Amino acid sequence: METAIRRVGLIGEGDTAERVAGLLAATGVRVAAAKNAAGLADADLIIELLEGDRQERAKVLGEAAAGVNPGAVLATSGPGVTEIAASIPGPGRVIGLHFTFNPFEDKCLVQLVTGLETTAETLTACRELVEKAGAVAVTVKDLPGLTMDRILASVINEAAEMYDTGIAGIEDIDRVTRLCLNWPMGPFQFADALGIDHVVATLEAIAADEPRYAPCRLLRQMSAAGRLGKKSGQGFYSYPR
Amino acid sequence: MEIKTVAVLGSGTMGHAIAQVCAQGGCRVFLIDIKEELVRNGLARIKKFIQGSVERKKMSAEEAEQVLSRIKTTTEIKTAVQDADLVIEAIVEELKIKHDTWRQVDEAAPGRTIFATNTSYLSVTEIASVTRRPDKFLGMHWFNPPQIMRGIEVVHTEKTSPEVRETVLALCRQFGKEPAVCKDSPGFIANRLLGVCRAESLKLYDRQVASFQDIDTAFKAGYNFRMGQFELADLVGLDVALIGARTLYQELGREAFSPARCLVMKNRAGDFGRKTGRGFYEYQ
Repeated sequence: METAIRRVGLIGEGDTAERVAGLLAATGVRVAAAKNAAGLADADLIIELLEGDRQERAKVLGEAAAGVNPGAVLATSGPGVTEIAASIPGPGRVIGLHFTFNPFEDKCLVQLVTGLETTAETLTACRELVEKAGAVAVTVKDLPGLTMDRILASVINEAAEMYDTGIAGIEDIDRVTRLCLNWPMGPFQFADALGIDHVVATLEAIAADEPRYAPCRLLRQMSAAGRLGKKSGQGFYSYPR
Repeated sequence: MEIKTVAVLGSGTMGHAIAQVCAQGGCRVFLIDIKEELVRNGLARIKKFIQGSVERKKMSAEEAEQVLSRIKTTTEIKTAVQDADLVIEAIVEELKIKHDTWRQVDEAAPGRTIFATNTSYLSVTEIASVTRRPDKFLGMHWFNPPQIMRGIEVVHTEKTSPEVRETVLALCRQFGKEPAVCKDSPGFIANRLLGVCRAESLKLYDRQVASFQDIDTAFKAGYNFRMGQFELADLVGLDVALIGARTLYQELGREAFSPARCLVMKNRAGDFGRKTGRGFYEYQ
């Protein structure tokens, strides 16, 4: 990896893909978005922003790897960097890029996720691009939930259990967390904003290795019942359409 | 029931400030501690804060005088509580000392007086058990500094009467606070959630998933948290953080609350955070 990243191929559709495209295009790199790897052959960096399971994402990146030059960086937005890299020739160029768009202001956090094989060059090239785009970069080893998702999901899980066992009410828990702990939102507000299905999925992914993180009964039931938060109009709070 | 007179036990960091808030809220206040010197210091701190409020035009000089005129100091429990509608205890976090104090207060206070403890980590139920009025006993957990922090946890036990709870909630609102109701349980709301958040964050550092600076950065950049968990722990004191973690771990018995190894090691090294010039970060 000798040169900086100049051409980025994004695989994915929807809001996140658009926002990532916008973020990176502002640096002057050429950004092409597509539904799959075809047509992205000249990219230095391919980022898959699909929401699929690891096998699907590995498949897509594998196809991309076949089409691009051997020095191109292949980035996954989801967990399992090491596992995905294992199925791709040149695993050192595989990295994770996890984008968090700050819900309160125009700021983006990018977690650069390193797998067992990820090379320092790959990491540096991505970091430089991210920082050039004005985003905040942190480096994280591949662990389910990474940093923020994992920490928030744990707190949400605890808060849900506290509510379910009658310790305190939803609004009271959120109020105390905001006023006394200075959180920008309470745990239930966070849950509704992140999506309860997303929180449950994060906890289940962590729990696969560490059973104590299993989502509590209330969260599982809410997810099963379609009470997902803002996106479904009902979570811990109601969001009338 | 209207709360007109409040006795505040303990003129330390929390006690003196709670007394100030009560006086500002229109109550007559008796501030009591075991030594004359301690209550004098407490009153001096109140005066200093109020003086600052006047200088910053947050309070008029007349108001300041009025507030101060409502506060009396004493070292005699009987003097402090014999007319009190509410007693708020903010003394050292040791059960035996709280028990000894509350027994004396229970003897000296009229039957109508409500008892509130500012304990952070002890059981309100257990503290209440030495009095003959557990129906009038609850927790009023204030946050530092009481003059500024709007949140209060009003902690009820199985025996706390709903009327007493409502009376205290109304008083909190009279003081301009936004109270939350909570069952007596380890860590109540805030400290329990903080316990999980802190343990989780510090353990990610234990596992070398990221540097502690990056974990703090992620908190702030991703979701606008004002402080990261490592900065916050340094500010609070890593000794205080470890005691809190051990208490919750003992009470709740779950791995989620076990103290992180890095927290234990910092304590062993004598690096307690800002107060010693070094914690996770270094301070001048």
